[in-house]
Amino acid sequence: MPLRLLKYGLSKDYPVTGDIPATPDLKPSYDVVIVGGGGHGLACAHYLSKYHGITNVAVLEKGYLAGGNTARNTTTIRSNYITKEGIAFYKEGVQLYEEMSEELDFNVMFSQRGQLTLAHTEATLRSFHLRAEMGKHAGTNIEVVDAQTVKELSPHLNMDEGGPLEIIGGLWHSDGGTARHDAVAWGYAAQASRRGVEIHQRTEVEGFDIEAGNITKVRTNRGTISAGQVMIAVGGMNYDMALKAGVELPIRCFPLQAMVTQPLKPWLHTLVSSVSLHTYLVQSSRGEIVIGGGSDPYQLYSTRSTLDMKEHLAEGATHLFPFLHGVRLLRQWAGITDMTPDYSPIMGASPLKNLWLDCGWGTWGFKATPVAGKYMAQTIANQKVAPMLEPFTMERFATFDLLNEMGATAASH
Amino acid sequence: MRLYPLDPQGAAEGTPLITGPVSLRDDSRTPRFGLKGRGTVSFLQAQGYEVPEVNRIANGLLRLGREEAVVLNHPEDLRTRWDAAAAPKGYYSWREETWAMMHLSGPHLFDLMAKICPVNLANGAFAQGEIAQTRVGYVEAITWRDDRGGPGFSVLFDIAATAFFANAVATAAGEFERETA
Amino acid sequence: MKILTCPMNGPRNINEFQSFGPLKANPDPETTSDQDWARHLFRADNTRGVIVEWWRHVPSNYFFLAERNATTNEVIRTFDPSELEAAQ
Repeated sequence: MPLRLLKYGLSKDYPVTGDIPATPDLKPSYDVVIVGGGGHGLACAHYLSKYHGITNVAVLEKGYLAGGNTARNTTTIRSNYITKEGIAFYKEGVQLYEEMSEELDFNVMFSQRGQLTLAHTEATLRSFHLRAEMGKHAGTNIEVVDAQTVKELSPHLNMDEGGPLEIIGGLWHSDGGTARHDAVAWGYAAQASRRGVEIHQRTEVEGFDIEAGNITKVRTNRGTISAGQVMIAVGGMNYDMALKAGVELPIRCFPLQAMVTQPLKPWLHTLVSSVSLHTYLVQSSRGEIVIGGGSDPYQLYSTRSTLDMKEHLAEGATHLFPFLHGVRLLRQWAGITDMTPDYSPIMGASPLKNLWLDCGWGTWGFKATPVAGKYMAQTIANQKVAPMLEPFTMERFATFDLLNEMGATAASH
Repeated sequence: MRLYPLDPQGAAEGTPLITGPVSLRDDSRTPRFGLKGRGTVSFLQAQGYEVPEVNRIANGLLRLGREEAVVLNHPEDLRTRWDAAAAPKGYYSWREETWAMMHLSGPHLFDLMAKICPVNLANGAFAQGEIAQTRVGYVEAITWRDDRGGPGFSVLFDIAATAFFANAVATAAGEFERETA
Repeated sequence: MKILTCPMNGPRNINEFQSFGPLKANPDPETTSDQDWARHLFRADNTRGVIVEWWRHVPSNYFFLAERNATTNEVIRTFDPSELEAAQ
């Protein structure tokens, strides 16, 4: 538990002082400009300021802090991927979540309750065996379990014995968990701004001045600034933002829809997802059942919700847990996901010498917030891509060194 | 002897076909000959068939695409004639094996079709001779008006969905059973 | 439900269709560099404006093209691919 929480609980002074200062005027020049004030950008700012002594940093956010995909994801934290590069990266991501509340002196409500992925077919079960063996090899906690164990882990599940969606086994990832997304972003922002990082909200990047393969100036709606190094981490807007710097990313944007029910007493003690139903469920600390998994089946820059996707999610959720049929929905929303061809992110260098990419986070970005921040900061501080990030280079699409995580990354896996 | 799903030892053996407010009949044994791809239309025309517009049926010939058709009208020797013909003559599409064929009729026929098919098939909206390629009973299907004594619809769909389709029709017709009772 | 008008089958529910992504140019195998081939494979039109994209009407297995605004989701028109061949 972070010590500050205890102090806060015993303090008579309420409210406590604000964690994040009001947006200051832009200075003419920064050592590092981070485009995007979501979890990833703020985590990078934290690591730069705390571990690399780089504090002349501006985080530029078009809207308000962490109001994009940081606020729109469904906060699944896991490392049950399939490539060794992916597992190594996400495994450290999970570990950083385990210590995040201490690191940030801020309660991020990390709840490591385990993730259960369901198999309704033999083919799915075979892919689970592969993922489990890859995961064990890399030192994560993951195993294939039989139907009886599935029932014990989640007793309310409709096993559909003899039916077309009979649950024949599962992938049990006890490292999996969830955390409070606002707290994660806020914790990083508070830490970074305490060390001198400036957070500029309502500051939109309109363009870049480029000379001899370097970004020299960043043009914003509040003025033009000089930048030593620039990082792009703007979620669903990554394609557009990179294009402003003349960099063409292999990204297509799709809306991902989710919804929550009214709060219920705690009953769902693990994260549960079904590959066949494209549905996953988790109970939040407020008791709401968060239901996600529905990517729109065609490209779109929109955060609207649609009835057919909500019906689809509700159908999956009520199939798995039939007693949910009478529960009301409280909220619905969508985020714009920047999908890469191999379902792995694009991190590291760009064709411009001082532009660094933290892009292509599609439907899988939240879990990587701390680990991407840590290694992007290391990369920017040394102006050399951290070894952990090398496999995620944009160049892999030219050399065909893809990191195929399609089977393990799609939202419901 | 070809084994169809509803036959003894077939994959859907024992699946009941409903009768009453809606009646479902299995016509999967009906002879049919399907072609698709370049040369399909010219081959059929050369054989003396009248080939109608796309999504129309004429004299037992269903035109399903620019170069796709299924012949229900005496296709028995077409296979032999097609084997002997010179290309381009389309590709043989095995519709007698890959598709099930069923017929729907009964006093609640139009109520049922409105429930299980998104295309408006009502009298006045969907004429004799038209074909709808759409979904019927959650299954991708081809349907057209096929009156036999009273109004009816014939349906072609993936043969592997035989039991699923029969059950979907039965489930959807359940409310009419209750009304009648 | 959103309705898409299939050039062959008329207006239908969007769930009768499958999206096949933006139309791509056909590179000339004789002259295209390795780098451009890689780009052809992995890069697709992701503009916020009007994209031209492939769709398939699943029950009839008919492929066609649509012009659709990727921000407003407005379908400007749908057309048979022969129209594209005729324009080339």
